[in-house]
Amino acid sequence: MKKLNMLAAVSVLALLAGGATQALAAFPEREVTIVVPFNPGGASDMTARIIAKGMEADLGKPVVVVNKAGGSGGVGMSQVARGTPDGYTLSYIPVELVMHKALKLSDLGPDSFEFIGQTTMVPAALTVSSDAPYDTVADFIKYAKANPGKLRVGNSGTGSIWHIAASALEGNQGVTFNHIPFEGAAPAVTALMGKHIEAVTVNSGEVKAGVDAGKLKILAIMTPERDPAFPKVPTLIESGINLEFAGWGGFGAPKGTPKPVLDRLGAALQKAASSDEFKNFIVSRGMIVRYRNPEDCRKFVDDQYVFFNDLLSKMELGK
Amino acid sequence: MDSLMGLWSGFEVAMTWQNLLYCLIGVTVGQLVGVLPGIGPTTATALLIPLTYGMAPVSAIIMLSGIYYGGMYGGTITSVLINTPGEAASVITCLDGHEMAKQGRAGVALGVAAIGSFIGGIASILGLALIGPPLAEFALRFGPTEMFSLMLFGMTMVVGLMGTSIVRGLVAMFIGLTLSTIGMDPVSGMLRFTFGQPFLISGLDLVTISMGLFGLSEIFLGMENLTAVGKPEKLSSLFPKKEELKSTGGAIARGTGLGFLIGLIPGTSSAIPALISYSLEKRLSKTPGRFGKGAIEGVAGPETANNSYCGGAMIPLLTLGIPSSPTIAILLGAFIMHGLTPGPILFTQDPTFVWGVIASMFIGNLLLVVMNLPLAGWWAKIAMIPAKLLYPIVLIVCIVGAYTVSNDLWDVGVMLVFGVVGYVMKKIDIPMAPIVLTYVLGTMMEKALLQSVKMNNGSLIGLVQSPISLAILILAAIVLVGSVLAEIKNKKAAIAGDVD
Amino acid sequence: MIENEKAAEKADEKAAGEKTLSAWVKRQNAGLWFGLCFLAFSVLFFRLSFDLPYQSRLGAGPGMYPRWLSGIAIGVALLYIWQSCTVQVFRVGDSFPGRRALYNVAEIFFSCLVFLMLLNSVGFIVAGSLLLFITFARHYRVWLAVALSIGITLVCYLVFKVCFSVPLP
Repeated sequence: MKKLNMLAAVSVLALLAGGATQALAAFPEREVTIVVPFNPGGASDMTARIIAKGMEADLGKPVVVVNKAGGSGGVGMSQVARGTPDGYTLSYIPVELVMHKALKLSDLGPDSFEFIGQTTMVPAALTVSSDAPYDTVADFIKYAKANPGKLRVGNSGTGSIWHIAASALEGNQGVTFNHIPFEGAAPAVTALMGKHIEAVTVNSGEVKAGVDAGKLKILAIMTPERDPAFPKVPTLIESGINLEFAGWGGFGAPKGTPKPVLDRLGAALQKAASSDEFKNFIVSRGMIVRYRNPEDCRKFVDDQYVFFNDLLSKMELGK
Repeated sequence: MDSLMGLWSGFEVAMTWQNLLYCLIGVTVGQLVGVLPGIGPTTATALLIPLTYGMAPVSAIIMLSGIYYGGMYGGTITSVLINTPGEAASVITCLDGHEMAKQGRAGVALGVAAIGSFIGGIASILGLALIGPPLAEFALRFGPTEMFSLMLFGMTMVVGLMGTSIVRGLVAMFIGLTLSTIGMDPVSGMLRFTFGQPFLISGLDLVTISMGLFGLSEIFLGMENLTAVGKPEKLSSLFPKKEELKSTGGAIARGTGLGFLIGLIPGTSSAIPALISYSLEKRLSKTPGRFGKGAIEGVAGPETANNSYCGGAMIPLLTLGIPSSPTIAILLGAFIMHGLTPGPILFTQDPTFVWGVIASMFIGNLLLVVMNLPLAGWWAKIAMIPAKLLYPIVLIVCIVGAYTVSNDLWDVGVMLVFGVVGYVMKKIDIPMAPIVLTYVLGTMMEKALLQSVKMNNGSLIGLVQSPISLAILILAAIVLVGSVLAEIKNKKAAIAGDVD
Repeated sequence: MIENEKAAEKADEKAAGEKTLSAWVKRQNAGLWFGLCFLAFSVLFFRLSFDLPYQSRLGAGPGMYPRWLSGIAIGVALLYIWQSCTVQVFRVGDSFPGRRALYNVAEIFFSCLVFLMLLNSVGFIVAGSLLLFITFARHYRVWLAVALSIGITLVCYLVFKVCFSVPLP
């Protein structure tokens, strides 16, 4: 009896080992799926689709993009995080990952994933109506100090990344805004163009049409470097405000994915992220190409996790 | 005159073989996704964008916008034939369109819808070409405050859809409103009634609910006794009866105006002009009793309105770069991806492009009506397919459709639940349309109200301070008083309806 | 109303012979039961809305709108129950079809449930064909039912998966 058990155990082990080495030797053997936790058509979805195309060319197997929207990205990300860590199911990871715990949306955190790399930065732009009485951030802040709570700043939803951008500026400068949540960045920009609100702090790509039409002006970009799409607009740091803030996007695999598989995926991602097609697309959508390899990405996400949790706990959201 | 010259040059662009072909592909795909429940034009446009990389920008946009307005045609077909609305705008069409199909007049319903859609589409594109820019400026004045008043106005319109009994109508309204509170609170971001389910954070999906309530319950009803499901004796011709022509024409004309104006306002939904048009036609009709029993105006008006809405919704996009609906937002993405930023500058910078796209919309609408009139006859024959074959097919299409909503079985389950609820409600005569419509309006209304209150530092004063909002509120009050008076007048009829 | 009572009497007469469960079910007031369900639904939401803050830092909190709404919904539910008990009675026996027809409906419902449970393990083509086969089986000869259900499932699969890249399992 004992012998039989031993035999069984050994054979199972052998099978497992065999399977594992095989998987490592020839990853990928079948199609790889990337889950995008948002609806099709958005910036995240398009980013993932172009990256998928690039990775497909490098991996030699189909890379399929699947949309699983809902729960601020929670539905899709949780599904991947719970999935088999074999590298065949990956997730697009938006900045929202580091905010989920603080907003009590889900138990997801940086520890739920192994990172394959970061691909993009999404700069926030402090934008106002073009006939507003302030031309620089300094004037804007002066105005806000003189009229506490009067400036209505639109964002893409309470607890959304752009709401936090405005709050970060608020906290940094000791002013008070009246935050108006909209159901996405586009309605907020529309309301700004209709002069229903005074400012927005959303992705610079979202306000590009309005700026080109002469209806809006950007006071500052919140990234450390200037936005290539608006080379004339100063950054917050240049304007004397020590604050940097941006959204970002990357890719991850479930916790426990074997290292060789991750390395293979990471190499494919790096290649995809350095293609001209990807770079052109990202710039045209008002984002910045920012590749970080898995190790840097892990460090960056952990830093962001601390940064956002700190901010969010001060904002008393979810109360 | 500049506009006309521009339009002329636009036709030269749009009439090349290549662009005609892309236009045809676009409207055909649009119509197909309109027919398939679950996949809406939003998803289809998003999925096709990557395919347009290699194309010339003008061809790409011609094709993608073809999907957008083509989808509106397709949605009618399922509503009329199998009582399954593919999107919110078609919910209204179910009310009378499906009744007409039961009477063997599916061809008429589809024919009228196609003609109405064509007229609505063409008129709104003309509006876009000639008077677009100044109107768009005006539409910008609709902020959250004005939006709330508009939604409230929509709510008073729902009252007109309540069927025979007010109490049963109220029950339906409150089910819809209560369901719309599920999900993340629009202002504080708190989760409400999600019962720990991540799927509920962004609320229930409208398509899932309406497919369950309308489509699935219809299947359950038919499954009671498959052999007894009545088939229309014969199919009538595609054209309405002579005596219906005048009222149908009026419905189409009013639908065109309504759809166009509401399309201009960013943030509305195509269900709103359809709803208002239906209520308007019912109120104007000399025989309101026919509505809900296969009144042709009840199909013509709303169908025209939702197509003319499409043209209207292109105006804020092309003139100001404002995406006024999710599909338009994806189109905006496509513009930008092809290196074009919509807005007034585009008209001067790249006029052949803008006018090419506008001209292609004329051609696309023409293609759609040419395709649809003969097809309407074919589609109408579906009503003659034996139920034992048709219903299982509809069932599986609905299931797959619900699955596509979030690519998860969750939505299929939700649809099943609503199918059973809808079945029971049909049995005890509770109207279904108010549930879906209040669900749409309820979500937008609460958001708009809370935004407006927050913008005015916690007071409701904005609602009466804004002239537009005040005017709409007064109009809503008039409509409400009017319908209450009409109810009192018809009290005998109403009580008879309650007892009957 | 009179007609309703007559119909109810008829149902009672029919049921009188067999004092069974189904007779009891037939005499139930469908409107009342639906009203009670709606009432329970409203009360549940009303109760839950108290877990949400009524006010926030600026005016209306997340709980205000749902609380009023579900509060009024309770009123509407009570009104409806009253109406369905007095003015207009829907007996289950009248509004709902007989046992056989209900059985048909239940069959569809449960085959959908089976489909749900099977979908992720056996994939769309098998589960879909099975679902269709159940519905076709009674009306067509076996081979025709099999052919139809597999054929239709394949067409669905092709349209949705290939044309719209919906990730059907």
